[in-house]
Parts: sequence; C-alpha cells; structure tokens
Amino acid sequence: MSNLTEDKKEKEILQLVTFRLGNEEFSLDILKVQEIIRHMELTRVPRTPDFVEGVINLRGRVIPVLDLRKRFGLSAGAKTHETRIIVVDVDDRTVGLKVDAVSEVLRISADTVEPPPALVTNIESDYIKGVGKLDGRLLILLDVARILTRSEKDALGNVVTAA
Amino acid sequence: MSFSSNEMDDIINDFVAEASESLEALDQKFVGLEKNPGDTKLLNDIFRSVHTIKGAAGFLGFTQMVEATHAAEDVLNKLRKGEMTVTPVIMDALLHAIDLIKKILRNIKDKSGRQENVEHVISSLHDILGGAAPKSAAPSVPSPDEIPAPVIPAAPAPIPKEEPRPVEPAESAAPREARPEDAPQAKDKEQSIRVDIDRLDAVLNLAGELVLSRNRLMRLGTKMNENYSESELTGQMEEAIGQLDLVTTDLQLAIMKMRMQPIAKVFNKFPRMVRDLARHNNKEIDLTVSGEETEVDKTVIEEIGDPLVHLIRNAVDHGLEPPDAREAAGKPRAGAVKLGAYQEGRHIIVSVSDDGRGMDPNVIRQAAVDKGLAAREDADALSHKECLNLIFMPGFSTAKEVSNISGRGVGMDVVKTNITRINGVINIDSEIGKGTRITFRLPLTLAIIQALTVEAAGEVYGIPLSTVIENIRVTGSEIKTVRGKEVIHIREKVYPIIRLESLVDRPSGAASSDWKYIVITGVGERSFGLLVDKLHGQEEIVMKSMGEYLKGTEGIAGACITGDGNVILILDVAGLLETLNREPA
Repeated sequence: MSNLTEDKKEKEILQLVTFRLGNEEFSLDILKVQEIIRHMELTRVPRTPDFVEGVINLRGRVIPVLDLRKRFGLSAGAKTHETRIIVVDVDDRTVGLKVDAVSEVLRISADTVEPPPALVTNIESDYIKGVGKLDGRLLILLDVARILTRSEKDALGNVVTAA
Repeated sequence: MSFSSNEMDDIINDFVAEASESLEALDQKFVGLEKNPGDTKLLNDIFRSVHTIKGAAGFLGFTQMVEATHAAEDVLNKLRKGEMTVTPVIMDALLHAIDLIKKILRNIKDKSGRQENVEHVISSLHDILGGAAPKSAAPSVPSPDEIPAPVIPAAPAPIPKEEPRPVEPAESAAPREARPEDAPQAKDKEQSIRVDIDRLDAVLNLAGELVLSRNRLMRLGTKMNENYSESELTGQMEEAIGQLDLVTTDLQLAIMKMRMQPIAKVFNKFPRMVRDLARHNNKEIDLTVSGEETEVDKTVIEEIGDPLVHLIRNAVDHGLEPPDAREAAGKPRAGAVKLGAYQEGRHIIVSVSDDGRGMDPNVIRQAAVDKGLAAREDADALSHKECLNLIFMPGFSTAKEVSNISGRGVGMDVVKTNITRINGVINIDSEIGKGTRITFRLPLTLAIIQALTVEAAGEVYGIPLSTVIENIRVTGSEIKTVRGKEVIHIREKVYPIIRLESLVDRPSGAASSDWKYIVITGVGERSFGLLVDKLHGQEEIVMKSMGEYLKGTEGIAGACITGDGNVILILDVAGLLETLNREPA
C-alpha cells in the first residue's frame, strides 16, 4: 500500500517558476501563475498596507500589485531592468507580485519537497509551503494563497465598493 | 430519475427565476383584473401562470407551495368559469396567497428551510370557495353576508366604508393604471435569452479594451500621416482606422444597451402597492403610470426601487387628503398619483407627483426647528425651495404620529442618499393645496460617469461630478484650524477639510504652489472640502472595480483607465465623509 503511494508520488512532477528577492531564490507553482510582465507605471492606492504597491492596468483589468519584498519584511529594493511582476490567479483573485527578477521554470518531482525547516530563510515560515531540492539547490516553494490573505481584509471586507 | 446535487441546484435556480418572474407579472395582472372583472382572457392568463407554478413546484417537491397554489387555483377556476365574480375580498385573499407564495419562493431561494404558515391563507381561500356557490346568480354585486366573511390576515382594518355603497367597490378602491396588455410581455419571452450579468460585463470590458487599442492606433495613424504622408498605404491605413473607430463606438453602445432594461421592472410593483395602501388608508387613488418602456441601466433599476416606494408612500400618506376632504376642497374624490419616466438626452427623468395638499414651507420650517435640525433664524432665512429641501435631513418628519406607512422620520434622507449614490439629482416642486412633484434626474448608465479629475501629491484622482458642489481657489492662509481640525470658511459656511494628499502618506512637498484648490463635495445634506493641488478637468470615465483583493478600500469607489492606458482612482465621497466623522475631535 505504502509502496503504491510512493510510486504515485514519484511520478508527480511540479513545475515551478523561480524568482529572486535580494539574494534568495523562491518559487511558485506554475499553475497559479497567469503571466509575467515587465514592471509598469503604478497608481498608488491610499489607505492600504505599505506592501500594496498600487494598481496597474492589465489589458483593461485593474489589478493590485504587491511588493513581495515588503510583504516579507525584507529591505526595499531598487527597481531595475530585471524587475518583474508575476501575475498570479488564486481563488478568483488576480494579483501582481513584484519581484527582483524571474529566473527560470524548473521541473522537480513532488516527493523531493519537504516541509519547511524552521530557520531556512529570512521570511516567515507561514508563507512557505515547502522546500524542494534539485541538484543540490534548495528551492523555497511559496504558498500563494497565504501571501494573499491579509488580516486587514476581514476588517474591510464588508465595505461595499460601488460596482 | 436522479440528479446530482449540482443539477438539482440548477433546476431549482431556474424554477426560482421563472416563478419570481411570473409572480411579479401576476401582481400586475390581478390589479388589472380588479378593474376589469369580466376580462376572461386575463383570468385565463392568471390561471395558467398559477397552474404552471403549481406544476413545477409539485415536480420539485415543494409541498407548501403546491398547497398554496392549489387553493388559489381553485378559486381562480371558479372565477374563470363564471361561478363567482371578482370582489375586493376575493382579491385580497388571492393577493395574500400570491404574497405567501412569494415568501415560500424566497425560502426556497435562500435554502433557509423555513416553513411559512400556509393555513390561514388556504382557509380563507376555502371560505371563499364554500360561500361561493350561490354567487353566480348575482353578478357584480357582492352579497352583504359575503363582505365580513373571510378574514384578511395582513390588513386587519375593517372596511366599513364600502358597506353603504356596495356597488362597484372594486372600481373606486382600486387604482386605475395602464392596462397590463399594454406592457410588452408575451412576445419578449420568446425573443430573449437569459444571460449572466457577469458575462455581459466581461463583453463590456473587452469592448472598453478595444476602444483603448483603437485610440492607440489612431494616435499611431496620425504620426504615420506626419512622417510618411506621401505613401499610398498611409491613406488606406487611415481609412481602415476610421472604419474601426465607427464600429467600436457602435459596439460599445450596443453592449451598453444590453445592460438596459425597461423601467417597467420597477414600476410594475406599484399598482399593487398603491391598491393595498388605498384600501388600508381608506383613500381613493388613481395611479397613472407612464413611460414604463423607458430603458435604464440594470444598476439604476436596482437602486431606484426603494426611493420610489418611499415617495409613493409619502404621497399616499401625507400628500393625498381623505376623499371627503378632497370633495370639500373641490377636487375629485380619487386622488391622482402619477408615476412617470422619460429619457432626456443622457439622463432619465423619473417623477412622482400627487394632487394632494402640497407641502407648506412654514410647517416644514417649524418641524425642522422643533426636531432641532435647524436653528430658528437659519430656518427663517431659507427660501421657499430651500425649505422643501429640509425634508431630506436625517430625522426629519412632520407626521404627528407614526403610522404603519410613514412618519418615522427615516425615508427622505434615505431617498436622497440612494439617488446620490447612483449619481442622480432630486428636485421638489410643491404648491400648497395643489400637490407635490418630486423628480429624479438619473444617469442613463452607471458604467460611464462624469468625473472631475484632480491632482494631489502627483497622483490623479477622479471625483464623481454628481457629488461636486463647487471648486474654490484658496491660499494656505485661508485654511483655519478649529479644535485641531482644518476647516475653510466660505460664504458664511464652515466646511471641514480633507487633504487628499494625506490619504497617501506622501505630502506633496516642494511641488506645491501657493494656490490650492478646494473641491466642495457632498452626499445628501452633508458636505466637506477636499484640498487638492490642481484641477485637471471633466472627463467621462468607465468605472471598474479594483478586484477582490482591494475591494472595500476606504474612500475609494473604484478605478478607471484613461485613454492613454493609465489607471486613476475614483474617490468614494460618502466613504470619505464617514472617515471624517470617525476621526477623533
């Protein structure tokens, strides 16, 4: 029985989009990623947490962009020609995540992913789904849904916006 | 036969949608029937509708609904066969049955599982059936023993007024209105399909995108013309772009139209409501509905229902005099209430008028002072028209006693707030002894709004133009501080101020010039000043939501995309006003 699940797990391949924040490398499940765009002009939104960079026009849709550095409490980084916005789509919410650079798309087998050790990185382990290994590299797999929950949202959720 | 729970849900949803549609239409038809009791075509129509609902409810196993519809159907069947004639009493019982069916339907829709008490409605219908047999001999005149017989549960007020004149009670008590056949119904049903509103919005969004692409192409076209004017291709390109321009504009309009619905959707419930009010208040009312085919945006339809209910109740309760008083004043016994709509340019005008006693500015003045809403000297200084506007103040009421219908002093401020929210404007005309007329001026669509664009701290914002009262240029020294709050004094009035730049934690700093602008904005009767760096101008914008994640951000109603692809935020004036009130003094 246990052998069977082992076999199945081995075949399961995760495709990950990896990106850089400062010197650390993180990754996201590619199924959550809608697209990756260059950094563009943002409109700041008042009275939102400081990690909300603002909103952008994504082909006619207005979507918010979060600065992942600020979201994780890292020091602010300068905008470079490598800065990208990863547009993710989770639970009907489309949100852009600003990262320092997008590196590559990797395939790893799901069974190499382990639960996060306590002190693997500078960011809170709450946002980490697990840590994957590939040729001796450590890949931090982020939990997108967790990143998008914001405690303030509950307080604000009941305020109706004009549709 | 078995369905998965999903399929079952779909079936039930369809049933609920269809049944509520026919119930809505039934109200209308019943009131029409009361006016023309002999209209067998209408009767058959009603019978069919009820029968259809019963059938579907039976198939889906909603027993309560089957019981209620079945009892109503029995009565209708007798009416149809001429074994009984339509009287107000039968009408009341039938209408209560319809109300009950609506309630049951709502329970089904909400999946609340709540059970309604169907007993008394069914028994009152059965009473009618029982006492009906001898009726066919005496058509159109209700026999005296029939009037007190059935108990009318929701309207316990006795109807003594009718006893002395049992002839044509239906005629006098019922509001007269446009015949239901006038409304386009049967034909529409075959010619339309149900489309989820989200899908329509998605198409509208795409059309908006197309417009932006067109704008970009047009700009490129102009550039090409400047640089390569000798090329033959340039001309052709220009032609193609012109064609695209035409088509996109038409497309956008066509999609806007898809969101439009006839205002009859709201108006249709009023004949029934006025009938009930008339019977309840012992007043005679002649309701005229006009322009129900006027088309407005779906959102507008959703928002004007409640304000209209308030206005019509007010007209019946406060406006119209009792029949005897009317006669004494030389007016017809039946008071006229007119509900109308028409299109005027890019606006829809909706009005409610009555020929009742009108509003006395002095009474309103006095009431406002008594309730502590205005100081004596302020109230005295108001003009006739300004006085009428006092009724929009929260807590205002002239009613000496609170009735079931109105007088609690909530109402008109709700009307004003609702109408302002959909960017409408209200106007009151009233003459003592002649009547009152209240007019809403509403935008044709909410998708496109007029906005004033302003700049603060380098960021551009839009303010819905309907909330803007005036713009004033000021210097920094004109802004005073009262108890730690910034205010501005303009023509004897003091307005609190919100610095727009303070919303984003980035003061405008060096870029600011000595001159600032204050945009006086207001919702309802409350207003405040928004301090901005620059005024840009007036623009037509398409409002978009900022998506789930930022939904509910305080003070921001939404965003829009400008012609050059930038995003600007639209301020939510009502929301800003709330934050102003909340801040500690």
